[in-house]
This record gives sequence, C-alpha cells and structure tokens, in this order.
Amino acid sequence: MSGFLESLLTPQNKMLLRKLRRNKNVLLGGVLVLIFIAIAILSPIISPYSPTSGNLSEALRPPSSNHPFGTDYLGRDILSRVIWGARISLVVAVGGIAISILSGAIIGGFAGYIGGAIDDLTMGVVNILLAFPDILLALFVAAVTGPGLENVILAIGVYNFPQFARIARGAVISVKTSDYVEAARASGETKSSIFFRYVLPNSMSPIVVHATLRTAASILTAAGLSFLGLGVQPPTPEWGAMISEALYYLDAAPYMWVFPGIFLVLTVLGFNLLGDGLNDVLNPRIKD
Amino acid sequence: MTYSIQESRTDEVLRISGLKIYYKGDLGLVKAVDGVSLSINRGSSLAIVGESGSGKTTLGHAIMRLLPYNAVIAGGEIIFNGRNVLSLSKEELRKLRGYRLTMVFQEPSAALNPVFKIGSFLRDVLKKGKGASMSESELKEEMISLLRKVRIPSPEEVLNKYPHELSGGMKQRVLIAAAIANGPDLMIADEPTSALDVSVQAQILKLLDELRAKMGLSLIFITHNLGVAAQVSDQIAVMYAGKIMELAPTSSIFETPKHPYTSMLLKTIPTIRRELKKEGLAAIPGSLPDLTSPPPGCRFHPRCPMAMEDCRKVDPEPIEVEKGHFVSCLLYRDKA
Amino acid sequence: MLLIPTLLGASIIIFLMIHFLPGDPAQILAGPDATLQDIQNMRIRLGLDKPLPVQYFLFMERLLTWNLGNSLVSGFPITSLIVPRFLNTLKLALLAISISLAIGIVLGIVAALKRNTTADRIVMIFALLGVSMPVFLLAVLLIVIFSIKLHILPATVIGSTPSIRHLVLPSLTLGLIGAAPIARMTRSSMIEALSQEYIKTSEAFGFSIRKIILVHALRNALIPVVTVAGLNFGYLLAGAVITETVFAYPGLGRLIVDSIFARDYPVVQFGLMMIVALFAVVNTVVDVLYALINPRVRLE
Repeated sequence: MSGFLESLLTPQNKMLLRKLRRNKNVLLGGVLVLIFIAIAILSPIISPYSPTSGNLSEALRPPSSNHPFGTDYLGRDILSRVIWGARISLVVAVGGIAISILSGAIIGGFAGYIGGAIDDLTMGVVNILLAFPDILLALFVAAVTGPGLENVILAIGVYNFPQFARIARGAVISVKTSDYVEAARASGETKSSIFFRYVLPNSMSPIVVHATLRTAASILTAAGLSFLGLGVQPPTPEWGAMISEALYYLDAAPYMWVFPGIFLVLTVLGFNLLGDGLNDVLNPRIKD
Repeated sequence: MTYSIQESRTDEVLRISGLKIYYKGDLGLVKAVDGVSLSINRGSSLAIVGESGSGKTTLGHAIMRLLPYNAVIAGGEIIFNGRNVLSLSKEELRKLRGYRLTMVFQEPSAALNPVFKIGSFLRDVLKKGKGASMSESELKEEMISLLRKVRIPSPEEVLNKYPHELSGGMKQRVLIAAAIANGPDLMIADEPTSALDVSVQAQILKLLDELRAKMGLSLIFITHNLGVAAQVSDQIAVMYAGKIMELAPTSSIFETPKHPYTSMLLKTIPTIRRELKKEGLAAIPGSLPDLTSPPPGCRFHPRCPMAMEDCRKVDPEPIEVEKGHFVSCLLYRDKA
Repeated sequence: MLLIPTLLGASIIIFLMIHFLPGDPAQILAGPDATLQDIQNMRIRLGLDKPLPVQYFLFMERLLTWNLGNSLVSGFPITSLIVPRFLNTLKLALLAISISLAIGIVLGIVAALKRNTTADRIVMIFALLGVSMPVFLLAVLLIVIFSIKLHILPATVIGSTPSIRHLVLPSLTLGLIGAAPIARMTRSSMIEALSQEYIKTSEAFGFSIRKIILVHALRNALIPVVTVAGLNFGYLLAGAVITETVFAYPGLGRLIVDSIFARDYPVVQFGLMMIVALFAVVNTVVDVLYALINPRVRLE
C-alpha cells in the first residue's frame, strides 16, 4: 500500500498538479463542482424551508424576499427544493458512479489480468450491455426495478458499468504487457506489490477523467428518468422532477423550471469542464 | 553583392538579393536567413548545403512564400522570371505555384493526401497548367506519360491507387512527376531523398539529373549531405547560420574549398580513401549559434580553427576569389 | 461478426425482463384484469411452465415471425402499435441527425478556421452547453419561445399522425443537442487535418484556399466525424424517449415509457428489441461507412 502512495508522489505528478492548477477548464469546472458539492452537503443548514412541505395558500408566487426563487404549485419554496435537489443529484450520481467504477474496475481489471476465456466472456457481456443505447439501459433497469432513489442509483451504476469495465481492462492489459512490469516480475516482485505500484497508478488517469465526464452524463440521465417519473419519486426534490412538474405552468410560473434548469446546467457544465480540463492535462496531445 | 556565373541577366531564372527572413519565436526574433544573395541560370542546378538550422529549408520555402505564419520577411527581393515574388498578390502567387514554380518536399509519405487517388491528385495538378483544356482521355494519357517519365512501372494501375499502397520511393516519384507536370521553370527540392533508403536515394538522384538534362529544368536542391549535392548539382552554396559562406561550381568546392567551414564539412564525409588512410571522421567542434542573437562579426568564428581577431568584429562580404567562386571569409579579403 | 451474438445476448436480457420483475410472470403478462383462468391460459400459451430456454426460444420465435401478440392494456395487436410509431421515431431521428450534421459540421469548420478568435470561443461554448443541457430543458425552452411566446409552432401532437409542423420542435431539440459533439469533433479534426503535410503540398501546387479547406482537408477531417455521428444516432434514439414525452409525439420512445407505466410489458419488450436492433444496424452501417471513406482501412 505504501508502494502505491510512493508511486503517486513522483516529481512528474507534482508537475501535473501544478499544470492542473493552471488549466482554465479545471479551475472553472472545479469551482462549479465544489459549489455544487458544498450546496449538497450543507443543504440541511442552508435551506430556508423544508423542501417537501408546502403551503397551498402560498402557491405559485413569483420570486420575492420571502421566497427568492418563488413557490411551486404546492406552495413549496423553490429555493429550498433546488438546494436539496443538489443533494439528491449528488447522491445519485456519486453513488451510481461509485458502483460502476468498483464493479467495472474489479470485473474488468480481473478479466484483463486473467485473460483467456474469462476475459472473452466478460467482454461479451460488456458488449451486450453496450448494444443498448446509453439511456435505454438505464430506462430498462428502472423499468424492471421500479421507481425510487435506490433504483435510480442502481440504474446509473449499471449503465456506466460497461465503459469502466472496458477502461479498467484496457489499462490492466497495457500495464501487464509493459516492460517495467516484466522487469518487476522478473526481479521477483509480489503480485500485489506490482498491482499497487504499477497497475493502479497507471490506470487511474483514464478512469478519473472518464468518471468526471460520466458523472455529468449521469446527473443528466438521472434527471431525465425523474422527469419521466421513473426515477426519484415525489415529494423528493429532484431537479428533473421539478421541471416535469412545471410543464403545466411553463408560462404562468417560469420560475418553477428556470431555477432548477439553471442549477442543473451549471452543475453538469462544471463536471464537463472539469473532465475536459483533466483530460487535457492528463492525456496531452501534441497540438499545432 | 550578388553571385552569378554568367553576366547575362536574361538567362537568369531566379535571383535572390539580400533576403532576410526572421521567425517570431518565444525567446525573440530568430534570424533564420540573414542576408542571402544568389542567382540561378536556366537549366542549371544549384545545391544549397548546410547543417540543420543553417536556414536552407527556410530559404527554399521562402522562394514560393510557403513560410509559416510566424515568419517575417525582413528584407530583400526574390526575382523569379523577372518579377519579385515577395510583392505578388496572393492570386498571382497561386497561379505561379504548381505551374512555373514547383517544390518537392522531404517526407513523401506525409506529402500526399491519403484520401485521394494518385490519378485524382495528378489530374488536379495538370488542370492548373498543361491540362487546362484537355479532355479526360487526353489527361489520362498525359498522366501515364508523366509517370513513365519518372520511371514508375505500370502507370495505369498506379493512377488508381491510394498513397498508402505505394512505397516511399514510388511516392516521391509521383511527387516529382507532379512537380514537372506543367513544365516548370524552376523546381525546388527540399531534402527529397533524406527519408528514403540509400538505394532508392541513388535512383531518385539519377532521375532528377536526367529530368534536368532532358527538360532543361532549373533545379534548387537543398540537402545536408555534400555527397548527395555533388551528384545533382553544377553549383553548390554552403550555408551556415543564415548566411552563405561559399558558393562555387561543384568541382571547385570539392577540389579547392576556400571557406574553413566547407573544408571541415568535406572532412565529415565518410569515404573509402579516408578509411584506408586512417583519417578520422572530423566532427566539427562546438554547436550552432543561437539565431536570436548570433555572434558578432563572422557567424562561424566561434567554431573556426582559422579565426582571427577581426573575425569577431567584421561580418565578411562575399568575395569572388576565382571566376564564379565566391567566399565570405576574411582570410581572402586581400583578394577582393 | 460480433453483431449476431451481441444481439442475441441483448434479446436474452430483454426476454428475461419479465422474470426480473417481482411476482408471477404469467400474472404480469395476463394483465391487471385477468381472471385465474386467463392467467392459466397465458401460462400455457407462452409456455411459462416450461424451462427457461424453451421459453426463450418461444419468445424469439414470436419475435422473428412477427407474431407479437396483443397489448395487455388496449388489446390491439402489438405490431400495429409498434410499427407506425417506430416509423415516426425514425423520421424524427433522421431529421434530427441531419440538423445535427448540418449545424455541427459548419460550426466546426468555422471554429477551426477562426481558431482562438471570438467566433471559435462562441462555438466551443455552444458545444459545451449542448452536452450539459438536458434534452427536456431545451425542449421546454423551445416550447416557451416558439409555441407560447411566438405562437408559430405547436407544442404537442394531437392524434397519432404528426404533421410536418409537429416535427419541427422535437427534431430541433434533438438536432441542436446532437450538434454539439459533432461541432467539437469537426473542429478538432479539421485543425488536425489542416496541420498535415499534405496541406502544404496543396498550397505548394497553388490550389485555391476554398479547395484546400473544403476538399483536401475536410475530406480527411470528416472521417472521425462519421463515427461520432453514428454513435450520436444511438443517443438520439434514446434521447427521443424524453423528447417524445415532452412533445407528446407518437413515437416508439413514448410508447415504451407509457407502456412501462401501464405495465404493458410485452410492448416494452418488443419495443426495446426494435430499438436495440436498429441501434446495432446503425453501428454496423457506420463501421462499413468508415471503411468506405477511409482508404487506409479498406484493404484490411
């Protein structure tokens, strides 16, 4: 384990950190993401009202000092719902991605390491999953498991799994056949040491980049599922669900969809910028 | 001060006077070509020889104004067929290129567009000049005869092939064919054989020489290899750090080199005679000067074994020491 | 070819859908109003008492002979539900991808040519927004602008045959979002192509700038764009699910969603199967297309 930490603190990596700090996309994206995470974590504290209880007599009020984002059709404070929506999106996206990284890395990495029939079988399954266009896979899982927060997390996990499995497998294979691993094995290093010192650090950068970009896509997908009614159920506040509720009030109460929409876009934008920036720094291409 | 073999100017196809080309770099202005003058007569072939960084490639590209966006023409003229290339409009320049003035580059694999067939490429080139009013079948015949001129076997088949289906040597022949397609007055070859196998090199050089003789083609041949230069040119210009150190007929360069740099270059050519005599390969000590702030006086003086006190102060002008043999070196200043 | 086994695998997963659900498959398939006798009939008819492989075989037989049975909810034959809607979705997807390509490629070229200027930055921001904006939000925005404020286009479709006017907003929504990755890819691909040596050759031979950019460079640059567009088509099919719902467009996507809510599982299964099959066909076509336009791959 200490070998892992050692191999991370190389001077090249310190250079990378410096480059990361200077990259505009990383900075801007990073700021947006941090704000999002902060809102999500602090939601119980910063939310002025409860997101689920509403006062019907106060329904559909435009933004005012009492309700900076206005109230929705059930009299609930939109600002509070937006704030709590961040928490829901964070839980769903991070939870789902975590599941897919873990399962993808373990299964994909293992397949790459062992090779042979197990590898073929695993990749066969992965290819079958990839035969479903992205969102439909999540839709399928949601259809089977039914609506609900945990099921959305599962759906996100499943729909991201194939790509992470592929990446992990690819990384393991390329490291497995590289010269310095052969040298290490020849000099008698233990398998776990090889794993922690070589395999893991080198597979990290594509996974990190991909995870960031997939988080963006996952937030959108989860919002889409909730929009359709297949995801998070009311009264749980979710940005996609909120926009769905606003469909009858598009003109009458635009604040019902504008605010969750803005937050949704900015959050996803943040992750996309961050992912792009990370990609530029960690996988540099020779530019003209 | 200009170089020329014959006094008659009407026979000149190209005359460069005091050309200065600088690049805007991160660390300052890179003086890649700093005052170069030369001329070429019709039907003759001039080789520009120098190490990498000598400015020879920049010079070659400048003749057609193919310079990158950060290049600045800081002075001088390039007179081609009586007109100054540097003051032509973009449109006039375009008409000239591929027609009267053509160029062959170093990497044949990269130079051909991979998604177009050879025939398609050659047709486009011919339409610019000779083939402007030809019918399809005439064009096809013309292309086949072109490919035969550059000794490509089975030309009909080659027309239908894509670049990646041909060998490096074949690709270069195709590019040469394109360069001679419209009967240019001047062809510039920038290290055309450096990326090819040695045996293929010899074939291409022979081909160029033949074409020159048959077509009366004027040729500028840029290379770092004096031995190669000897095979294709009747004049050689030795370039160093953006300036021409010596310009003379090929035989004179080899038999009676005047500039110290030229002599040292000659010693770096591995020959059997040297092997037998056990003369070591002399590497030229020192390294190329920083072209953002070149050394004062003669550019070569820091590495020159014959450097004198004045070499540090005076940048030598070219002096004609014999007919047609010019040197830029203070060693010969009494002979002016 | 990997196509057939992969499709078979997908069909297995879709087939197993009924069995993943909690409860008795026969009961689920017989529907909410079924009597015990109906359930038993269903069990026998679909072979639900037989071992799984046999059931799968029967499922595939029904699929391939186009004998899909009836909807649990409406009783109509499933084929009459799926086919017209599939065609509607196809219309929508084709229109959308055309819009994406037209907008994306043009913007990408402009951005590549005017690199690092304001125009370039605007295109890049548009591209970034395109990947960050949810389909339903853009749909809502377009509805608000064109239907509500300007009254020039209808927001939702009434009836099951959409007219041209009904196609505009949904295809514009999908088209704009799909244009974003295409613009990005075109831009980077053009920049790459324009920096190649063969462009210098084209310049050295005095070809016109228009020809160099639009023919010599673009022809190379479009190669990876084709792949991206093909992948995009898949996401388009999926994104259509949401778009069709917002616009009440009578397409296959909306049918699937409605059927999920209505627990009309046979429709869901066969609908999904159709989309997966189409997706696979599109991917294969893209592969073939790629080989056609990239001469270097052709011989392999």
